[in-house]
Amino acid sequence: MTPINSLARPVRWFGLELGDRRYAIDFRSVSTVFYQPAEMPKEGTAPIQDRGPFIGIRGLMVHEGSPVFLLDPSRLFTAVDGSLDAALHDQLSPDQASGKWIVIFAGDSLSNVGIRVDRASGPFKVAADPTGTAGGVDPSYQKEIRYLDQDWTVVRLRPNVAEGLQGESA
Amino acid sequence: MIMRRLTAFASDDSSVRSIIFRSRLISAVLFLVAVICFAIMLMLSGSDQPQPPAPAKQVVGILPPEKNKAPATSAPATLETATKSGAAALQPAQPITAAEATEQLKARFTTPDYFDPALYVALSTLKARLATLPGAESEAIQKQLGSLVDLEKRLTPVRGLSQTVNRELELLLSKGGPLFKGIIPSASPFVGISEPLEKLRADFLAIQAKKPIDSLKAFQVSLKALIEARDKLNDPKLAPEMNDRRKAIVARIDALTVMKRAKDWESATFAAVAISSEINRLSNTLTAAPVAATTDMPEIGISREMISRLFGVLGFIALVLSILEIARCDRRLLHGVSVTNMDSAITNSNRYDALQRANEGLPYLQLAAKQVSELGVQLIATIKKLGATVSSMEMPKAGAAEQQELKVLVDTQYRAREILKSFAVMKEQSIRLSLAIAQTNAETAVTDLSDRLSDSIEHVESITRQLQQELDVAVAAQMTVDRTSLPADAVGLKRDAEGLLMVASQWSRHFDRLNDALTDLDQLLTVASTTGPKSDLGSDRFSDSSAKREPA
Repeated sequence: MTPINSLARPVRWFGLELGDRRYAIDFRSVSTVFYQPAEMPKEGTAPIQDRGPFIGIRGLMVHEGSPVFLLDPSRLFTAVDGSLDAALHDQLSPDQASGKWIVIFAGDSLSNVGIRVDRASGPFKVAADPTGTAGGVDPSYQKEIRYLDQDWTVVRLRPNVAEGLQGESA
Repeated sequence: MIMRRLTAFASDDSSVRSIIFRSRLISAVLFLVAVICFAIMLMLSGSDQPQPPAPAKQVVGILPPEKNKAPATSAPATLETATKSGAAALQPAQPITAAEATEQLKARFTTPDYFDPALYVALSTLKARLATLPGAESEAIQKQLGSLVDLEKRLTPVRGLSQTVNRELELLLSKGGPLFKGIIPSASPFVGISEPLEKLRADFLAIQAKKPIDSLKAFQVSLKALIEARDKLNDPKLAPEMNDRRKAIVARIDALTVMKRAKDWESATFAAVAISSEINRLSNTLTAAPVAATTDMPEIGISREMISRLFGVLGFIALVLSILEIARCDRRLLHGVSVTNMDSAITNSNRYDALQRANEGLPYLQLAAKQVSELGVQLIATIKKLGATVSSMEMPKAGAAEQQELKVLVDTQYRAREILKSFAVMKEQSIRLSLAIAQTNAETAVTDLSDRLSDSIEHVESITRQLQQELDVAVAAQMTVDRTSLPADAVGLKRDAEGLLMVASQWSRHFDRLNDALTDLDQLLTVASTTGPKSDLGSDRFSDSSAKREPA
């Protein structure tokens, strides 16, 4: 049996598209993915809207019995060179959230976090150094990777992203 | 969980352990043999190395043997005259016969005074004269003599310091001193150290009196005993017994010159003893076969070299065998007669857990794979329909049936949207499949295949989206303004649709391969799980489904 050696293998990325923003995250941090085109209620029937204690949270859903907080990119990710600018990255206001895909990330606590995106793609691998700009740097330390002729911002989950989700109130 | 597994493996475990133990024992013995062989080889080649004969002009001087017969009596003054006269008499060394050499060596080493510089002068001379005597033994003796002469710098200071040493020992050991024999109680920690100190005192008195000591070996042993006894005083077990007075005594012992130099002197005397006995041995062989020594020496040298090489080869073989034994044992354990052996032999919980997880994940994986396959089939059918629609688009000429043309376009647009929608559904399944594969730690081949599948799905989807966008533009153009731009659009559309068809056909091959890989994985897991404990039921449940699954 082949030994499992994740270090020797290239990183498998998972692509998220939100408006004209594209993010690439390590595929291993993805827990599951849903395609929900029509079920997304525009009038705010099923998911809890941003009222009450869930200020700043785009939505809440339940997956396999545990709550999943759907967050904004700036809340959820950090880029290689620091946190994302909320003004640039969180374009949609919560009630405009229309993404058909829900990506839930592998959490370690009781509550999980996820994001609603327009398109999810992957897993994909990127050639070690396609453009020569990176100079053979480990792709997980690059700021951006190139896939399907598009640039994808490399992000990772913010540490302790689930902290203070329940406690935050208006 | 682990306990249960351990008990399940317990019966096989002992047999496996005995196999491992036996194999490791064999390889350890082989390794030992290899080490011994290498050591012998090194010893043989080491004593056999040709020593370049010392150049004659470096010879200090030739002292007549009579003058050196009593080196004990020769004062440093003798040395000075000797070196001076030696410097004056820079002449080639006189030839020496084997018998003469033996005799002289015997004379030097009957009661040698290693602390007398004159001895080393005499030895240097002898060494130079031996250089005229051919043969391996002679060379070996020269080498040993050289090493002994090198020890001069370390041994002669013993005499120089002997006065100081004696004074210090006197203060410490004589009546009134803290380590006087009469006052040390038998339970004292200093009993051990006082004995070697007493012996050394006797030796140092002789050294100071410029008499050869009884035995250099005894001197070395006393020094060694002193070092060891001193180390014992550092024993943490003795710490509670160490009161201030005792600590003061330890400090005084440490302050002794002999204590400070003990290690250096001990190693030097040890080397001198070893070299002397070696020279004695060699000098005996020199006379035993003086004639043979001169004639047969090269041959013996060769055979020695041969033997050393032989031992080297033997050692190498033993080393290789020991490594092979380890490898053989491991192979036997891994690829044993049956898979049952393999599983019971390796009680690696990681591996087992991975299998277990793979087992649990398999139904999802198969479900996902099946869905992907079915969706793929539907999708390919839809794309084919689209291809038919697009190719019919060029049939109606411009102006002939505008309504029909528009209808075709709208139809295509609708189809493309449908395709995109089914794409999304399929992509969802494909991502889930990738996730399931990743979570089961499946083989790399399967992972690669699923990656390639997702990759091609991405590509086809991007083409489809492009087509969709072009269709949107075309429909908009058709609806609003004139149709002049339509032919160009139609050509582009057709090209895209053809590309899509081509990719889709490649893509069905990907499905086939993924299905094959999944079947393989399934079989592997089934085999592994039926041999693992308590998982037979689980594997049978879904082992059939992959067989039934038809390729896309």
